[in-house]
Amino acid sequence: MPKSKIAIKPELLSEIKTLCENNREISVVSLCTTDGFTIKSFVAQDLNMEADKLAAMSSTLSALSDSCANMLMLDEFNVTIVESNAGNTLFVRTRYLELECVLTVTARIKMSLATARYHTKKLAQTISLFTE
Amino acid sequence: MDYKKLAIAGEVGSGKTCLIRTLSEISPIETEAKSSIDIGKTETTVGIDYGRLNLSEDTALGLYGVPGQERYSFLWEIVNNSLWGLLILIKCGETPDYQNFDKLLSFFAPADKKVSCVAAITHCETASHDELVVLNQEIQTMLEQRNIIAPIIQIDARDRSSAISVLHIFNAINR
Amino acid sequence: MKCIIYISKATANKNGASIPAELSKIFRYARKKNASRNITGLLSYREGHYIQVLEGDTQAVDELFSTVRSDNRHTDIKVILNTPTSQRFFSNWSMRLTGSVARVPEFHLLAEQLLLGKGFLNEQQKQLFNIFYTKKSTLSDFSGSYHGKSLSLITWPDFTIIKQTPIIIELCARLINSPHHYDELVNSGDFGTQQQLNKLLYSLDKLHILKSAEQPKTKVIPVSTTEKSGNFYSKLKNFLGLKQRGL
Repeated sequence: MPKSKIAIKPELLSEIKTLCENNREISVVSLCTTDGFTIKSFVAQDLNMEADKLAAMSSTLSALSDSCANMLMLDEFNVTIVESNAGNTLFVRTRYLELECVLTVTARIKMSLATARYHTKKLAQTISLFTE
Repeated sequence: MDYKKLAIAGEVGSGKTCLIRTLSEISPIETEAKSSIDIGKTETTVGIDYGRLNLSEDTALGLYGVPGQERYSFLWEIVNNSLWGLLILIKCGETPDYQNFDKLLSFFAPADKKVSCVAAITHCETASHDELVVLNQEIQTMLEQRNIIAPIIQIDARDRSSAISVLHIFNAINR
Repeated sequence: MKCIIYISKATANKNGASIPAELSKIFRYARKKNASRNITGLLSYREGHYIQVLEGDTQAVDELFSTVRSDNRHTDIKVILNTPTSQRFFSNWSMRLTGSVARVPEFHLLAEQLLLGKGFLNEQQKQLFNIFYTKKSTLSDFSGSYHGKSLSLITWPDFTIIKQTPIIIELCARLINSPHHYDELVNSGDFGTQQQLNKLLYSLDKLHILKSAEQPKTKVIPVSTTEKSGNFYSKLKNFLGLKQRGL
């Protein structure tokens, strides 16, 4: 399992923590590799979601999105959004220490989609700038 | 439209994507991602691979490749509805994760749901006879424990006639 | 020289299931070790049990067996034979692995000479031995005719023992689904000549998976498919037929 091999940098933890503390509407923040292994995952307690299943789902959705983007837009996917009445979930392509990754963020409905998208994209960019 | 679903499940590198590519008449929808661990190849399937065989104008067989690892069980749920057949691919040369294999069998429960099941060993071109005997016995035991009566065959997922022979078997059992 | 035969239970895993999951490891390790000690023999697994034959130099066999005894991948080790011997039965194999000992001619020889005679095995040993080898295992039992019998298969054959061909698969699929009259199989012509069909049936019989019963008075009605699914299968069959002809 790569879990033990992928270093979890303190910067990564602090970025995620800051985001969650400043935005209580965010209920899920998860970073995983595109092939579905968890790197770090924060999930609101009431959700009872296992980290490895969340990572599997993120990898599946991003792969399907990528397949879709390839076929319909002749491009790679950047963001996938799942909207519901309770909130929005965003899957954003990023990199973490040279690994291709997906950042998954769920925000409750009180946070607008635009704001959720802004925060998620920003975090994804920050994560991609970390170096070993 | 008469439409049936064949689920193809197996561990990483067992040849699901390859088999669907070999069989499908539409250009298959593949969900491969760069693998972050050493699995002997650079790409691995992380979602559903989808392919289709048009049997006639109004009849089709959908091919759904799903990862065998339990964390992907939400995909198993998607394909499990009104399933026509379950094909389990096992890669020769590696001892399968039997704990996980058992979870897959108990989830799909082909014996209870009366879904035809076939176990196919792939990558056996260079395998020794002894290796195949061991693997066969192991798989047979796993199936017996779930009361599944299924043939254990050897296939080459890259070869069209070998891939077609799998459909022959399903057709023979299901008739 | 001596020969030890034991039968043991495969260790059950957490959910209570016996998985010979370590079989490949056991086999590989045994083959390597045995070769270095000039020990020969056989290993087989069936219905949660292992049977192993070890033969070779007395001291080497005893030493190996004491290691085997302490292996926690099996329990309830019951020795069914421990005897001095002057000949090896498996001289060609440092460890022969088989899914069915009845398919190994050398095992028949061994069984006849050392196990099956009167008073060789006690009741408990016999019971255990029957998991792997019953009287039916002896090949001469075959009466030579399936005429008037109704045939079915209890399970699929092991395709590492018999060759996986479309025709045998077709036959097995038919016999797995429901019993069929032998004469009906002959008349269908789907399996070649009667002689060819007999050969196929005999190969299944030897694996002890063919069940033959006297033909019942009432006609056996094959499971019929519903109209709707029948349509699908005929189309699939059509499709496969076209593929076979390379169209």
